[in-house]
Amino acid sequence: MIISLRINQTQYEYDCQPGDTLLQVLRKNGWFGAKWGGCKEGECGACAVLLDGRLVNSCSILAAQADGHDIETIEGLGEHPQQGWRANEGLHVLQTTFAEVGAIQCGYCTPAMLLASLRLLRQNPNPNEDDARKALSGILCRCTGYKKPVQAILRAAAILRGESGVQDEIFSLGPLQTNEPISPEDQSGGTQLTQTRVMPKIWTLPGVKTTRQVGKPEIKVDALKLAQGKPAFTADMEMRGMLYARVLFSPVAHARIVDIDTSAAKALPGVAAVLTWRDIPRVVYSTAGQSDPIPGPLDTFSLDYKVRYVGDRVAFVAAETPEIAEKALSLIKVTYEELPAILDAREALDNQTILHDEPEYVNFADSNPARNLAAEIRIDIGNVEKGFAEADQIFEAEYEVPKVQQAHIEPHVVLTYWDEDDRLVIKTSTQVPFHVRRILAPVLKLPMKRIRVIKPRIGGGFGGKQEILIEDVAAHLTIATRRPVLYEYSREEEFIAARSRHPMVARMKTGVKKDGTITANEMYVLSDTGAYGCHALTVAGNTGHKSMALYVGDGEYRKQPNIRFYADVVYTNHTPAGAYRGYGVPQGFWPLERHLEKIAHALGLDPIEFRLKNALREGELHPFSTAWSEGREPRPEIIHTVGLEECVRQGKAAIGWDQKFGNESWRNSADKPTKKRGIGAALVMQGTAIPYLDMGGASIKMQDDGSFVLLVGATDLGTGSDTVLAQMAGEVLGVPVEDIFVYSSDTDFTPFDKGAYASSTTYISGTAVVKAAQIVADKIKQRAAAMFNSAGTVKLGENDIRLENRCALAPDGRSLTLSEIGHNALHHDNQEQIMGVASYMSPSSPPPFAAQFAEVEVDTETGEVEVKQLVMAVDSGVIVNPLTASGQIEGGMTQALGYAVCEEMRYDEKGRPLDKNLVDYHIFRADEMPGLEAIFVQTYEPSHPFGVKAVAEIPMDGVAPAVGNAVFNAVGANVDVIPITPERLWRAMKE
Amino acid sequence: MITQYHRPDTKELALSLLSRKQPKTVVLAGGTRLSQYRGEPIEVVDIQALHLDSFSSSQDGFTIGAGARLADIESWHGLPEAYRLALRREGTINLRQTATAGGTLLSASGTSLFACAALAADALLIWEPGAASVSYGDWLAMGNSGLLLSEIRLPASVEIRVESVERSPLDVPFLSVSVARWKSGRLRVVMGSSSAKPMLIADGNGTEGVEEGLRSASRQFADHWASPDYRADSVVALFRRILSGM
Ligand SMILES: Cc1cc2nc3c(=O)[nH]c(=O)nc-3n(C[C@H](O)[C@H](O)[C@H](O)COP(=O)(O)OP(=O)(O)OC[C@H]3O[C@@H](n4cnc5c(N)ncnc54)[C@H](O)[C@@H]3O)c2cc1C
Ligand code: FES
Ligand code: FES
Repeated sequence: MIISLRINQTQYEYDCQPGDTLLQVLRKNGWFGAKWGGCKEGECGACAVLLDGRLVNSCSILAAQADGHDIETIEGLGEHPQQGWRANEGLHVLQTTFAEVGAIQCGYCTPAMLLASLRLLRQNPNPNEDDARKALSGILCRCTGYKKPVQAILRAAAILRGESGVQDEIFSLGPLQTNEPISPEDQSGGTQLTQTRVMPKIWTLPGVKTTRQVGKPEIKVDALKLAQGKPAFTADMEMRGMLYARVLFSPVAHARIVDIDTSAAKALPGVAAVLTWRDIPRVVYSTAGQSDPIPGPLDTFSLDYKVRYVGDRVAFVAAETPEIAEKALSLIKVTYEELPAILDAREALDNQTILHDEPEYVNFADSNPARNLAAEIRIDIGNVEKGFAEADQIFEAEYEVPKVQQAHIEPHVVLTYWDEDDRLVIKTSTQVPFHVRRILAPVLKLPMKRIRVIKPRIGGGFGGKQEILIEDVAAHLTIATRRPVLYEYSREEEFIAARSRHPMVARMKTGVKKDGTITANEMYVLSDTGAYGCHALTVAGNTGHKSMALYVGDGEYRKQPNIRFYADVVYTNHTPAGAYRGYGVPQGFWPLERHLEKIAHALGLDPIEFRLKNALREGELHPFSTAWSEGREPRPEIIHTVGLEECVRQGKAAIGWDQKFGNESWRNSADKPTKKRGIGAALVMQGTAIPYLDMGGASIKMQDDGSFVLLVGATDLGTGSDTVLAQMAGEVLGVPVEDIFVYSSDTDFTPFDKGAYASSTTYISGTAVVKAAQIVADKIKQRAAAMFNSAGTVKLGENDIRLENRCALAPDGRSLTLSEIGHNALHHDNQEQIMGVASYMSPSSPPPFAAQFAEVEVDTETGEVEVKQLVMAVDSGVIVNPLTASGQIEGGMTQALGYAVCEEMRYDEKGRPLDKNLVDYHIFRADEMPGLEAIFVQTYEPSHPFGVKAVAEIPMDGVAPAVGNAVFNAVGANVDVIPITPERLWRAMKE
Repeated sequence: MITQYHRPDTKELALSLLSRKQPKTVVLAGGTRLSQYRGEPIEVVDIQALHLDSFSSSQDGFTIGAGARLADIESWHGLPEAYRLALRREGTINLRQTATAGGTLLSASGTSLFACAALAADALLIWEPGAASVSYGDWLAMGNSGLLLSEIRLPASVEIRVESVERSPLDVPFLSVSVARWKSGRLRVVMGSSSAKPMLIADGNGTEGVEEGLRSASRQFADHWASPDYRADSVVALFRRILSGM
């Protein structure tokens, strides 16, 4: 049928099918600003457009319904002001404020958010915070925690109302530097944001050096393209002759495939290929996107004759349309011989049912498929039994953490094709492009050099894309058909067939003296890796390595802590687990911090003082550094910076701890007899990169006009790492970020980088960038000195020259612009390409530290928990960009909040997933958020050129235990299993 | 699969399309649900041009066109607050811009607070052809009484309260109690639950037996949202809470 749509004030006629959604028709016709979140229930809102001025999900109405109506998409909002000779109105103020305040992280939800904001401001030029939150409430954002988008709306409204001063505020004020702890009145968290100040608070400890670019709130280098909804994501790139892939997933948890009949599917017109395990090479590999050698077993095949979970792959189809591909799946007849399934990790070890009986299985370290054991860890530090013997009291308890989903709003998506040189190009939304190439080469039977991996923009990853998850599907189909193939997961497929956080059962045993000195601390975890052992060893290792390292004991025990961490990582017939922001550490801090809370309570100690008494301090050895290093040789590592005490001081002040903790009249609200308030805290630490393993490279070249092109293998998943890397380069080169063009991740063009994981980009790739920039800076200075010398009598050396404000400055006041130098280098004298290439591998992994706080209100009858406020004071070293860093903290805390109270992947008795959409699997919406407050306590980490440590993962660690401890504070009930659902708390209160 | 799209501009035309035996033809209202349809071939009749989107109040009560969008009804200040709050819990604000009152009641599960409130209030559904009137409760038991739902009528002078339980403030309300009380003393109590359609628990004068009714109804259900024990205890707590506030 032909429909007529007036899009952004121009009339269009499109041919479509009666059942096509508006989203399908818009995207087919080049309106890529509307994104697909894989939904079938209209839950994410990324596809929203304005229909007759109303914000509607374009995936949830038929295109035919829109026939004759007005549509506005992001493409009509505003555009980059520099369009050559074509005059234009530039960006809309909302696009500007979203970019300015850091409201854009991965940018996948941004077009929809902007349209929602536009509609709000049209209806209400004077919105308050609640209005803004309500307007955004139909759009899920997994990155920001919504605080900055709300601020962007309020700022835009103020600017449109003509209020003075708003426009300059962010960049002229800079972060709030204060010498006093922040009081609750002063803070911008709580239920009401401070609309006029978007910068986080920064408390700087002595020793932090002053810089020009580093530490400034720069606009993200990619913000404008995202604010315009440019086709920057993988699914936005279509090719002629492109086929659509679909995968047949197993409906049973464990079975042998006895027979597959694909004849009917192959005969369906429009089907280009149907592949089963018989059609492709049988190559065992691991889907974990990690450096070589993969620290885990090789136990996966692209397609196998056995299925090990509901959602395991059975067959691949490529067809002319997604609908034909879908239909073809229904025509494949599979005969399964069902096998007993293991659906409880406690029953997995030494069970008669064995998941991996394939002869090709390759062990790593202590994995043992005959025991269903994917990994085993046994770490003993000091003399744990002696420590227990010396304790006055021993506390033991068991805790549990759930399987949760990364739920990035852009699903996994990949496009593959043969280029004109017969090289296989894989464009994929990945965190690890170089690992994709290395790991897939043998699987595809291609030499590595015949594969090129390109990472376009990523719409969120959070570890879920540190996996070689779907690239092989499209690649096999491209090899089979010779044609380009696009494969995109739906949201349901994300739940049934992507990775997730490892669920764990943890047993704690802690010996303590009466005065609160920890004499020995032991954790045993049973981790469920699901059907495959991707990240099995390293995630569990991190669980102990980071959480159990934080408390070493006091006095003599500091010098020789007694710590034991044992883990068994078992195979079950659940969806495989993998990497998820925090990488095992949140799993460790839930049991540890709940356990310490109980101990403090039992001993009558102040819970925070008790923790600080036993916590790791500056100058001490990381206790695990002598004992474990992901299956490699451990090397002792001293911790140089620990801002934990200051974090506690700042966080306590911000949440009003002293006024609330132990205050009965605050706990009992007079007007709500069934409600009780509570406050809780948790201290946490993470790591920064993997020492002696992670490597990042960077190359910088200077252009004729004094601008620079920075090529990095690092992958920005929305975190702002491209910007932070540009800031560091700019610091060395004396130019603003706008003079540095960052290209990230193309295995052909950019230097190697291990990828975006382990909180390493700013630290590792950043150091590589600084080193490359220093090489370039040296060359510029040499040339500048030569240029000065050719004109003057005083002979200058390169060390006499400073680079500042796009100029090379001589001590006598003379200056040359970088444009003059670049031009000279390329065109005039002794011509050369000024360029620098460097890489960096770190010998250390300096931990960031944080104090996290939560305030809750508990319904004593139903067990509902409402989190009212979250505060996090974090020592992440020097903060390169306070806007992007605080965005990381706010977004991380929001994900962690879901971990605490509502997120959980549930299964039925046959191993079938019960949560397959973002309705049942609830992630927080803009209009139900607690107050969020991020405070930075700056230390200067000596192992980095600008003193930085990691920031992105640590917010995941302490929210759940802080909430659990706050619940205990409110009602005296201990919930040991997260999420703290109403029923779990109700049961705990009954006990 | 949707094979044909119709947008009639008269009720008569719509009814004649809907009355055909073949091809199977169904009403398309907001389309939030139907646009996702991937089953056997059907044709759809879009009701956007039929002017079924008005709403009004009179002494007898509130009349809501079946095609009225939830977002519009939600901002209608004439409607009692309890309905408006319940409407705000139906899907997201984006979906409510298109989803209709009729589509919502006809596709509701037990987690729909608006459907629970409407059942508690003994809402009437008016069906075409013939303006046949049937209570929402009877519709839940017996299905359609016509081809096209045109109107929903909610009685006036009824006090409505809804209480629910969820994991976060705006999560799926997996358990709820809705109570409607008439001036006459008539009391209707509805339980909403993740595992069933809205359930009428009591319709009579007074509260006697209601708690037991709620308990025994909740004990029938166990799913991954909550156990029967928890449901039984919490629905009674919610019911008492509603009564104490009425
Ligand atoms: C995929 C999906 C599933 C959902 N499932 C549920 C659920 O299980 N429970 C729940 O409470 N909410 C559910 N919702 C949310 C919500 O109830 C519906 O989306 C929405 O309210 C339906 O309204 P609509 O106007 O868009 O209906 P449509 O999508 O247009 O229609 C929904 C159904 O109602 C029929 N219908 C609609 N109007 C009339 C009428 N006037 N006369 C006769 N028949 C009519 C249609 O034929 C169709 O069968 C779901 C939403 C989506 C997107
Ligand atoms: S709501 Fe449309 S893509 Fe998610
Ligand atoms: S910025 Fe919102 S989903 Fe990433």
